[in-house]
Amino acid sequence: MYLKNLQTTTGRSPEKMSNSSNNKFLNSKGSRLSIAAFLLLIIPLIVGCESPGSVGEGLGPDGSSVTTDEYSVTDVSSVEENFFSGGLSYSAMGYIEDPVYGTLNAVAVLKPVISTSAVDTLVEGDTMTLRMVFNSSIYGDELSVSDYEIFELEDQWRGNELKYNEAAPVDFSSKVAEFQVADEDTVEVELSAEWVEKYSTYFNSDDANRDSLYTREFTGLAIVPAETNSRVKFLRHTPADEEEDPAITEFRIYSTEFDEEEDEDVEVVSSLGLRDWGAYVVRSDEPDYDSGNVLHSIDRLMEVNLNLPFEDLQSKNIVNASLIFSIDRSDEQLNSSIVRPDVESIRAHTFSTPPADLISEIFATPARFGANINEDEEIFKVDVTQYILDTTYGDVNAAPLYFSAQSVNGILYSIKLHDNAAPQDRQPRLIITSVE
Amino acid sequence: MHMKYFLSAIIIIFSISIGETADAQNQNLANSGSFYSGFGYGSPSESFSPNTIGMGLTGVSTFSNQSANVSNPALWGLSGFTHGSVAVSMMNYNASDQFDSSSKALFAFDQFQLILPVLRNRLGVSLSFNPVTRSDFQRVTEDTFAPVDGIQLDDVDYLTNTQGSGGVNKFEFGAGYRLMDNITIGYSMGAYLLTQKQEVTAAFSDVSYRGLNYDRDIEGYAFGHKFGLFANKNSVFGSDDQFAIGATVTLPVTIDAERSVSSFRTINGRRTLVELDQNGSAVDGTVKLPMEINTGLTYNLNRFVVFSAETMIQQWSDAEYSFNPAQEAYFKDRLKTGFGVQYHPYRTEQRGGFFSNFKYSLGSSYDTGHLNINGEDIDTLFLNAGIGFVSRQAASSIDLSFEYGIRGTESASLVKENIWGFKLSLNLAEFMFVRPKFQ
Repeated sequence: MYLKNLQTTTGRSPEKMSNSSNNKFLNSKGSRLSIAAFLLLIIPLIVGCESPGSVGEGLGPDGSSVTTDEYSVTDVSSVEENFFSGGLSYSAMGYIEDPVYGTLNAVAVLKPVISTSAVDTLVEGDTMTLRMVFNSSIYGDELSVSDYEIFELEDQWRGNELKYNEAAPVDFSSKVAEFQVADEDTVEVELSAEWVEKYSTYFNSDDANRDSLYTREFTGLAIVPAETNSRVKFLRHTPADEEEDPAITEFRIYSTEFDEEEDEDVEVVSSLGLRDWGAYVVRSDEPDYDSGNVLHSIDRLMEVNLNLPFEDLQSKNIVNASLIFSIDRSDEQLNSSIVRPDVESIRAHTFSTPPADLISEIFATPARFGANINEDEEIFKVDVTQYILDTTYGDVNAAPLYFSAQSVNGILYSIKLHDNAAPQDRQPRLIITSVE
Repeated sequence: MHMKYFLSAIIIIFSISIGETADAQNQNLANSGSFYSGFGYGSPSESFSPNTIGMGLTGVSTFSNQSANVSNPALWGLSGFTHGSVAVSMMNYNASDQFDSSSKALFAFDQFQLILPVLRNRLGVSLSFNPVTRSDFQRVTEDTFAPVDGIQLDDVDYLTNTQGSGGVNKFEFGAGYRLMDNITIGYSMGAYLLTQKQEVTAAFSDVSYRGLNYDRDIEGYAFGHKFGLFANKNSVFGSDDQFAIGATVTLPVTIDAERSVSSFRTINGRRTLVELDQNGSAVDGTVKLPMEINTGLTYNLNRFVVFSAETMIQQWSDAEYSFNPAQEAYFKDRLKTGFGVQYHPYRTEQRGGFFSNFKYSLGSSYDTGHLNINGEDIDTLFLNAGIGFVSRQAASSIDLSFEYGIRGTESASLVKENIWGFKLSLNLAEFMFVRPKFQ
């Protein structure tokens, strides 16, 4: 029944094993299994803790590595649309003939409120001033002295409807004041008595429709630069710092009242805020550019269409996608006497469906992407990873990206970016970083 | 009675297994093995028969009626008992190179086998499950890259952590048949299942670079064949000795595999599972397991002392891993040879002391490895020792072995590993379906 060698290979035949039970072994059997069970239990305790380490650097048995792929950005075009120019944080005033970005003629327009708790009535002898507080930004010759005249406007205007590149309807027959500005940060100029009297008819009126009449009939003031100027300054409408530097542009009323303690007339100064404000800024004589993509914060965007290689990208674990734009300062350096507001950032909007009013949409919605300038390398590196992920792995089409300079805040920003005519390392490109 | 104790032991070990596995999954502990298992579809995993596990030998030429033999189908024909066995292991891998070191631990289910003697000592069938290759590793990579070529931006530091698991597992079914008193043959067919998973976590020093978790999976299956031969001769040099030889041939197995890469990403504001599309050559690939020839010689000096020697050849130079040709180029033929000795004091008819209740094993093996990287073979020297807890009332047993090995080298920018750990096998051998003759 059993193999001859079975005795040797197992030590005993199955029958013998079955018949060999005795009480001693029954007693010892439990102890042997107890030893085995004990050893089983202590094995995990014997094993030491794990410690990760970077052994085998360079061997890469898992094949994980980071790769970057570079794609040219060739579909770039300019979009010339005029942004809004009223009701912003700053209003431009001045004149500059910039050989790089063209001639800019900026007329600031202002309209005072017609009520203040400090003054009930404007009376004969009261005077009014315009106190202009300037932002530190300058566009033009820092050392020049600028001449300005203040006129009334011919037509009504609304600050939130003003757009750039519209001519100011100035009534040059009704001059209200004139002044000069050098490097002051604040200038106060007295307004003509005729204009104050005209203004006081609305200010002092008790008519029920006083406010609507003022809105409809009173056109406010235009600060018109002389064409001999070579600088644009920016009126401040929001405080630089609420506590440290709260001053903003305003009108002031100087009146007198009797001080019973002093027993004499004393001068009282009352602030009169702005009811509406804005700027008429017209760009002209802009040169034709042989190369590059120019952005103006007031009237020029850059539309970028990324012709993405979807088949290639869909095989990648994308961790970052960045658009690289290099700044072209060559023209600016040729005209280094002109100081320009620094463009510290660019931003990009994108819309799933083409908007009916592109500028309004861009003005009203926050930018989806943006980048601050890298001053060392003079580039903008715009993180568009989510855009690439959505278009590569999602079911949405790759909509255009609309890039604009800095922000629309009333300051005139311009910048020139390299295009594909530039040396290769300065050309616009898309860098896709992925993990494999 | 014996069944009760062994079932208790099996319950204990499975409880520990499940607990450890759950703990490993939760804490990423005890689930990382050899550094070199990250190459290709993993490091070869030997199927040690429980009886010879303490010698570090497969047992291709060593028959035991007390435990199953997973390595040689021919030996299934000699089985007089119904055998069941389950084995687990707990291994430590202390790796170091010239710059860094790491310590990893791997708790693994090694194998399961059930042998049924259709015709006792003449025809037996076996059903088993065991790993063929194992790819359990953790790899931490730190590096930097320049974000934009040609522009001097700050380098971005990154770290990837790759946790690999899986490999090729085999469900094997076969039969052994005793042709003559001293010659037995066997055949088995194996279903080879390739399940290789790598979970990668990437993190970057620049917040504009998205941290990422993604999975790389390779799956496929194929069928393979294995043939076995066993022969023995008694009373060669004395009246109580025996020579036995055994050999198996495992034919190459080609698996048509498919790779997928997926990760959860935020797409259009929603968390979405993204399956990366890859071109055809990257999705479909070939994983070819090498042919294996395993031979052994066992000499039973008497009923107490057994010597055994084995040599195994695997033709890894013919193996394929088309998903990574660079790693496939590391494959080279593998030769493993080992020698061991066993002492069975419990086989005496007279009761001895406490230490005579156990089976003792000692062995050593040298493995040239299946990889040649940077001109160096990733070879391994193993020392093994084992102790067997043998039931005197039945043929069942528990085998516990300790293993210590040195793998690789720190030269040529490679990694040297000190390996140590335990393997444990529970072996159930009972009469089943048969009324014992003496009753």
